[in-house]
Amino acid sequence: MRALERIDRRIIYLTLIVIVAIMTLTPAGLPLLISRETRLAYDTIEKLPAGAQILYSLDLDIMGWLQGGPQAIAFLQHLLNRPLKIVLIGWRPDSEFLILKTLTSVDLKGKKYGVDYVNLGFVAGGETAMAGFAADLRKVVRTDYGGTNLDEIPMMKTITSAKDFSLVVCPNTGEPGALGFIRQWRIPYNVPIITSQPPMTVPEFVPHVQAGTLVAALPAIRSSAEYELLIKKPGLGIAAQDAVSLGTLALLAFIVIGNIGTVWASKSGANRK
Amino acid sequence: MIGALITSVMVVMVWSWLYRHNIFFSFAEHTIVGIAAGYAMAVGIGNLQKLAYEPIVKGTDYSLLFPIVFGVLLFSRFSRVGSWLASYPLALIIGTGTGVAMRVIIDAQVVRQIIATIPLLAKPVGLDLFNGVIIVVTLVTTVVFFLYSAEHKGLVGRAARIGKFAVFVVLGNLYGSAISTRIGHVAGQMVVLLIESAPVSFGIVAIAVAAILVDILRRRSKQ
Amino acid sequence: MLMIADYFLTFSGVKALATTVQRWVVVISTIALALGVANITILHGRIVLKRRGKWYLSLWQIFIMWLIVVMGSVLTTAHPLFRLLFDNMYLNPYNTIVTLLCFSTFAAGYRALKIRTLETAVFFVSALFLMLMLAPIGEIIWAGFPIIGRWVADVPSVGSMRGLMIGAAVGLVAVGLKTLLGLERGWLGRE
Repeated sequence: MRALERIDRRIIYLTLIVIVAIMTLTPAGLPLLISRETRLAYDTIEKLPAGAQILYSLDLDIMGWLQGGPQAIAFLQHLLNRPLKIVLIGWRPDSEFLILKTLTSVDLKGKKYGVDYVNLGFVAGGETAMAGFAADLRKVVRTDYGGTNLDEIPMMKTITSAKDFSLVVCPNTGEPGALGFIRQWRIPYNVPIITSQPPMTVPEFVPHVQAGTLVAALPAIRSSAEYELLIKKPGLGIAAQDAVSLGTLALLAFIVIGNIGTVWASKSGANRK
Repeated sequence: MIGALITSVMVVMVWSWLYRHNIFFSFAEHTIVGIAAGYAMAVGIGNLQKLAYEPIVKGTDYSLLFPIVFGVLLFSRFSRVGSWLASYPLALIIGTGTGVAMRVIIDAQVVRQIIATIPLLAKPVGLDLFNGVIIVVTLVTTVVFFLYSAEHKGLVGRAARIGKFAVFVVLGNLYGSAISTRIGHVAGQMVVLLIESAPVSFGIVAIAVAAILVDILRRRSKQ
Repeated sequence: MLMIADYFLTFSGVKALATTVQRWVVVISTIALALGVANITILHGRIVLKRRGKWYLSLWQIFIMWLIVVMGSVLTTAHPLFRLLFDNMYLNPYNTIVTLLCFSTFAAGYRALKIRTLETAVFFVSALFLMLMLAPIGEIIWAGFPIIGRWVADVPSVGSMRGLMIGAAVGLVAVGLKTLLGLERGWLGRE
C-alpha cells in the first residue's frame, strides 16, 4: 500500500497518453449538453440583422490554438453562415498566421472578399492600438493584409470606428483580448462582446458577464464541441471531448490513490510508534 | 506527406522529454524558439512597410519618421555605452499603455462590478436572494482577507477566515478549469499526431517506443 | 496622462494628439518585434563563437530564425513553403510543449494534492465539481455535477473573483500612478 504513495511519474504520464490515445482513435461518442452560455452566444449571432458589421478579433497565440482554434473556427463558420459583413483582425503577431489558418478551415459559403469579409491581419500596439482603432481605425490600419488601401475595399467604405460595429467576437488567450475590448470598446462605445477563453481564465470573466460588460465568455474546449453541434459542423472540439472525460477521471483516480497512500503511510508510521 | 512526417518527428521529439531530457528535445526546443522570434520579426517587417514605410515614401506622412527613429533607439540597449537611449521609446510605450489601461480600469473592474453586486440584495426572497447574499459576503470577505492595514482579529479576523475559504473556492475553480484546458491540449495533439499525420506518425511513434525500450534495457543491464 | 486626458476631455486638440501618439506607439511596438531576433543572435552568437556547451544547437537556432525572417519577408507568411515550415516545425511542436504542462499538472496533482485540512478539502471539492462540469462524463455519472458545478462557478467563485478583481484594479491603479509619476522605475531595469 505504501507503493501507492510513490508511483513513478513516468507511469502517470504513460497512463494519460494511453487513455487519450485510445479515446482519440476509438471515441465513445459521449452525449453533450449545450450550456446556457454557448446557447446565448449562438442566439446573439443568430439574431443579428442582415448586413450587420462584425469585428472578428482572433487573439490567440500559437499556444492557445489547440484549445481556442476549434472555437475560433466554429465562430467564424457561424458568422459566414449568416448575411453579415465581417472584419477580421488580430492584435498578436501569431494572429496573422492563425487568421489565414482559420479562413482555410471554414466553408466560405460563396462569400466575396472585400464585399462580405476583409482580413486586416495583425496590428501591433496591443490595447493602445485597440483604442486607436476604436476611435478612428484608419489612423491605425491603412491597408488590409494583402496591402490594398482600405478606401478601395467596398465594405470598408462605411466603416470608420467602433460605432459602426454591431458585435465583437473575440476568441482569445490573453492580453489585450477580451479585457482590452471591455475597456476600449464596450465601456466607451457600448459594442457588445462575445469571447472564448481558456477554461482556466473563464472564472475571471464571469463577473463581467454578470455585470453586462460581456455577452458571454465561453470555456474554449467544451464550448467548441457544443458550438460545433449547434452549427452542425463537427470538428476537433467534439473529437477531444471523450479524451477530456476519461483524462479527468484518471486524474481524480490518481489523486485518490495518492491520498490513500498518504493516509496508509501515516497510519503505519503511527502504529510503529 | 512531408508535413505529416515533419510534424510527427517534431511532436515525438518533444514528448521524448516525458521519458527523460535528451538531445532530441533540445533540438526541438531550439527550433521552436528560433522560429518564434523569426516569425515575429517577419510579421513586423510586413506591418512596418504598410504602416510607416509606404506613407513616408509616398510623402503622405513624414511625422512617422519620428517613431521609426525612436523604435531604432530600442536597439541601443545592446550597447553598454548607449543603453540609456532605449529608455525613451520604452517610456513612451509604457506610459501610453499605462494611460490607456488605467483610464477605464476603475469603471470596468471596480464600479461596474459593485453596480452589478448591490442589486443582488434587492431580489425577492428565494434562491436569487440567497445567491446574491453569498456573492456579496464572499466579495466583502475576500477584500477583507487581503486587507493588511488592519489586524485580523475579532470581527475582521472572522471575516478574513471566511474570505480565505472563498479564495480557496476560486483557486479550486481555477485548478479544475486548468485541468480541463490541459487535458484538452493533450487530446488535441493526439488528434494531430494519430489522425491528421497518420499513417506516417505510427511509424515514427513505433521507432520512438523501440528506442525508449532499448534505452531502458541498456540502463538496467548497466545496473 | 495624455491618454487619460483624451478619455475624459473633449478638446479636439487633445484627441488629435492622443491619436497621433497612439499611432507612433503602434509603429514603435512593431519595430520592437525585432528585439527578440537581435537578442537571440547576440546571445547564441557568443555561444557559437566560443564553442561553449551544445553550440551546434545555438547555430541551428540562429540559422532557422534568420531563414524564417527572410522567407516571411520575401515570400510572405501566406506562401505554402513558409506555411509548411511554420505549421510543422513550430505550430504543432510548440503546442506539444504546452501539453507537457498537463503531464506535470497530473503528476503534481497526484503528489501534492493531499487533503489534510479543511481549506484543501474546499479546494478539492470546488475543483472536482468544475472538472466534472466541463467534462461530458460528469453529467453521465450524476446530473448534479453540472448543476452544482455551475452554481459554484456562478455564485461563490464570482463573489470572491470580484473581490480579487477590485483589489487587483486598485493595486494596478496605484502601480500605474507610481509609474506615470516616475516613482516606479522597475520597467527601466532600475530599482
